[in-house]
Amino acid sequence: MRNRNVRRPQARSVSTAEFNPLTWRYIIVMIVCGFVLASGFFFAARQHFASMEFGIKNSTLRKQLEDLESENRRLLLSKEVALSPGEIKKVARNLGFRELGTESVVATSTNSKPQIFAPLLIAAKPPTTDLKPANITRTAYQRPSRESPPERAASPESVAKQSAKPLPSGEGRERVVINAVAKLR
Amino acid sequence: MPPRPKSSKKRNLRQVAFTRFTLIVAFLVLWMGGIGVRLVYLQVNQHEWLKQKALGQRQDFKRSKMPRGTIYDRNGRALAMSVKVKTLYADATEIDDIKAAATIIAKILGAKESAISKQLTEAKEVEKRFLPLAKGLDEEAVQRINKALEDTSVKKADSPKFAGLHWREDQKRSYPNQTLAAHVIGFSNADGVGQAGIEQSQNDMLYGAVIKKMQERDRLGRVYDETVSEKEPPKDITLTISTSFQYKAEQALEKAVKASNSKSGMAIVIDHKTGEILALANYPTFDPNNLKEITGENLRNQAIQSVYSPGSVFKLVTYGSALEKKLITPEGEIDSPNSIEVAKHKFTDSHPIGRATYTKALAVSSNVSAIKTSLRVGKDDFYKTVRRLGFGSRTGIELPAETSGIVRAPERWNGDSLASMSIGYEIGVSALQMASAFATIANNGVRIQPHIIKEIRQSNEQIVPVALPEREQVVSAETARDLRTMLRQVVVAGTGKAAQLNGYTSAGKTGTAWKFDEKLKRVNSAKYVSSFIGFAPAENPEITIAVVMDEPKSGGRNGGQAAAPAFREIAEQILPELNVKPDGYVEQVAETIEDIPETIGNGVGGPQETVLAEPQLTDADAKTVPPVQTKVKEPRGLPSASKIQGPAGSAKAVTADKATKSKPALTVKPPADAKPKGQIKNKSSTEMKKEKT
Repeated sequence: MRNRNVRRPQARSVSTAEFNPLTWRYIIVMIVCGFVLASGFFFAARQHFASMEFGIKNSTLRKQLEDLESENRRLLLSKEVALSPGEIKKVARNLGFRELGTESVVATSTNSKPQIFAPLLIAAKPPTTDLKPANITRTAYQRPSRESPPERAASPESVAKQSAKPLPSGEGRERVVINAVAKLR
Repeated sequence: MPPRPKSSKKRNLRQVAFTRFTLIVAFLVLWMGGIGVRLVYLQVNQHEWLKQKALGQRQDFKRSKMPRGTIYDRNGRALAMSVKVKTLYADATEIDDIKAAATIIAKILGAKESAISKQLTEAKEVEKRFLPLAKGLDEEAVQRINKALEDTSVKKADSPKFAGLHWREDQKRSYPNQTLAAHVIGFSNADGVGQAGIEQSQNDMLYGAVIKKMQERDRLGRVYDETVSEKEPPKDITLTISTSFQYKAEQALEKAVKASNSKSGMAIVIDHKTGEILALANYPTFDPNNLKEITGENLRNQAIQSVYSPGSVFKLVTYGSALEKKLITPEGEIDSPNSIEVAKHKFTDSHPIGRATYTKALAVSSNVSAIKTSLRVGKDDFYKTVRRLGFGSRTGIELPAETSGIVRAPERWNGDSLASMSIGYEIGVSALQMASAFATIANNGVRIQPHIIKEIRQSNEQIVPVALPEREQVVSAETARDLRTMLRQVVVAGTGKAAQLNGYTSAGKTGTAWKFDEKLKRVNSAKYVSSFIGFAPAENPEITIAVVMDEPKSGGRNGGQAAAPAFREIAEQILPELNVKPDGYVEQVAETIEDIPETIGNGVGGPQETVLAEPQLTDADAKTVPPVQTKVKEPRGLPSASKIQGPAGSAKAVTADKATKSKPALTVKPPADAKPKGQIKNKSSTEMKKEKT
């Protein structure tokens, strides 16, 4: 009898299958793809939340800007009210100043040298000595010449610049800054 | 019992497993099917409702208004500006317990609980979503209310954290200088729409556009995305008026109106070299911050909206026409009898001057001389000059409701119309037109359109181009110079002596006319319109000032008495501020000044009650009245010896000033080497003539 070597089909060992280089490639590609995908999702999520965070900050800053602009307008208005002639007059009265009356002006004009370009000669009669000195001296505010016009006193820019400077003891300003910081938080 | 075969047991187990598997799959299929069905229902049937609900939670729409543009004066001082304020309102549909809410709100706002409760109840019944509770609150008040209303149990995106209460942004228009330049600036209503003045005429420029904001919020109510529909921001307007000049003009005008007990008054200061209006004042005035106080009387900008008969100031046109045609010269002489009859209309002077120069005739305001001069000019040329000087048409100033005045075409004139018009009757002018005519003479005959807007700026400081004012040579420079010489004598030796300035020379003309009385349907000799219009310094004028007083009732009622002092006060204060070098003397004591009475009225006879359609007109009456015998009120600064004036030629010297009475008189003479620009010494016209010859 012929002895046959019957080759039994040998089951593939696990180790052989695991070490199949082709399979490994697939797995690595899959892992890489999964990693890339996960990273993409992670990156996108991070971007999304970052954008939301920026959006919130942006909105807060915009609100803060609006508030500061409003505050700036309010301060400008307060300044204009304080500088209005009527208000100055009221404050001056409270401080004890008097309005120029006819008598005061007459006394001043007879005693003081007239401020004109041509020198005057008082010829007819010498000035008397019994005149009482004037209580109030008339003064006139001299503006700079037309060639160099003064900078606008209360333009919005100048006020904005002023308000941007830190004030040593400005309660109003401090309040604004505190509010702004609180909103940022 | 034989044991069961192994295979049958296996088969049974497989069957059980299969059955179980089938059941699970069926359950899963049903479950997923149910979810699918539900999803289809939600996403197809309830799509819109769910979408709106989601958007409502996430999105927030806000409408706000940009602050209205600011109005500045020429030096950048804000005259009108808007500030943001907030309104606390209730959405009644969001409030469950109205009584409890009303209690808290009333406590915080300091209002009556019952009133708030009633309002909220009514609003809830009609599902009202906007019920204002407190208006015009500034940021400080808002913070205080937010803090007081904070309810930690309420989850709300916006403040205050109180169910049903919200804030709405509004704006409030403020006028920091109160009544200053109120007629120029005007005011705007609660909706931010201009109702008068620059606020009205430039409403399109100043109007704050509505901004729509779409905000997206996260679950904590924080805004993370915002879409703003940007609109073009409103523009800021810079006016030509100066706060300082305006204040001075208003103060002087108020003082003059009160001194003469006038019904009203107006003053205009023009820089005739540029046509810029430096001040435009009316009295009585109003405070635009307090709209309740505005009445028809104080709202009207009379300087540009009212028409009046100018009276003798219009002789400027008469002599201007004659000089332009070279019919007369300032030194030329004219026979001036006491009266003249034109078309059966007798015109009379209050004081006969006999044969005199044209300069003197203008200085003493002789009607007869003016009429004779106009008759030489002829109506066509006279009318042409009237029109060229801007009468009968609007000046084009950027203020609403400007009148064009009343000037009839020569075809519609009566036989005596030329004579009447030559002395300022049968014609209606506005104070601005009259001031513009004098400004033309002061500017060497070049008429520059008066304007009040200096520039318009956009928010980014970009300047919007404004049309340049029109320039036109109306009369020759020679004519203007001659007229200035003649007008100078009005102040030096004529009816306008009260307009002499301290340190500066001045020139101008007085005018006094009777007013048309609508009740009487004729002119009323008891009602005057008195004016003084002039410029300073006389030789090289820098500013033109017009002062018009309506119905002065006490004191001197002529233009030289009622209006000239205001002119003087305004000019004396403004000229130094403009850095104009003094060209006159500081008068300590004036030499004996004889006040020249002004001839008032439009003669006797002829077609009287000339029809002038607009109100506020004066017209002729039948006689010439002697001037009122009143002590001339001396404004500050000039301790001169004024006179109590009587009828023509009978002036009686009486010292007016107490200081002058009690103190030795000082006569100020110029040094021999000093040659000031203008003539201040009072010289008679004959003296001048001698000098010239």
